[in-house]
Amino acid sequence: MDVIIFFIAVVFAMGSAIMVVGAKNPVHSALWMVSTLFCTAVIYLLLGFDFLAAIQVIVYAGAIMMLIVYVIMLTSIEEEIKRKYKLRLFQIVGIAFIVIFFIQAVRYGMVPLHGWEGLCWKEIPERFGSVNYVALKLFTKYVFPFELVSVLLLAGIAGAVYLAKKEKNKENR
Amino acid sequence: MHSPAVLIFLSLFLFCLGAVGVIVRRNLIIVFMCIELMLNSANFMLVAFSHFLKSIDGMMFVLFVLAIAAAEAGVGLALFVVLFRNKGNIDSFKINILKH
Repeated sequence: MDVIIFFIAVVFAMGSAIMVVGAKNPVHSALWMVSTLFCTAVIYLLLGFDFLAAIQVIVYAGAIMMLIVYVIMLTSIEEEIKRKYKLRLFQIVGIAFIVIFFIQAVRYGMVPLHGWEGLCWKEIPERFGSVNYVALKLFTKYVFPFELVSVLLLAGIAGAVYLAKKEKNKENR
Repeated sequence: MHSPAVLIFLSLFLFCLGAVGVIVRRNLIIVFMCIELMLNSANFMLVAFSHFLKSIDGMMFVLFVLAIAAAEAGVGLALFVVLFRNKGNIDSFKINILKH
């Protein structure tokens, strides 16, 4: 059963990722992105990371994607829907390089993995990745990065507010 | 399911698809979403190896990357709103104010 759900999640993640890049309407693109993130969260859950799956759904698929949809609503999408895409030379060269990278990475990244069966777990251990264990690590070994991240989030809030506020005493550029 | 090959393939696929999207698409918000896709695939690889190497450290990295991605999304989307207010569109080919 787990294996079936796993492969369904993998296939759905790939298909929705293709639709993120391929959809004409940015709103559809954002909704497919939510689908991709949700499938990723399902895979996290199957790998035994309960807490991370919940955080992925709440923070990524919830908060960040909602922010992106709001910004799509604040900007105009008619131009994007009507646009005809014609690839320029640098785009073709870039795509060729990415395809070469993908083929090489799949070839050389997957070859040694046949000997890796000894590294894999036969079944998922009980408490690994649960809130209990994560909190234990987060507030002991990783407490300094945790505090730094709070400062970074504060800086992010300040920067966003400064950028997005209306400038009254300035002529239009 | 307990084979790293599928997870690594999925992660590479998402990364390359995100890179293609960054190059091809011209709407800055879609470009931003493709960047999020690439970030997510890197997270995915970290989680997969955290699972296979039986260490929680990769997962902690992903937690911090998630927090940083949230901050980045806030600032980046504020930039897009300001750009749209000043120029009227968010076409990545038309934003060349550093060129002139």
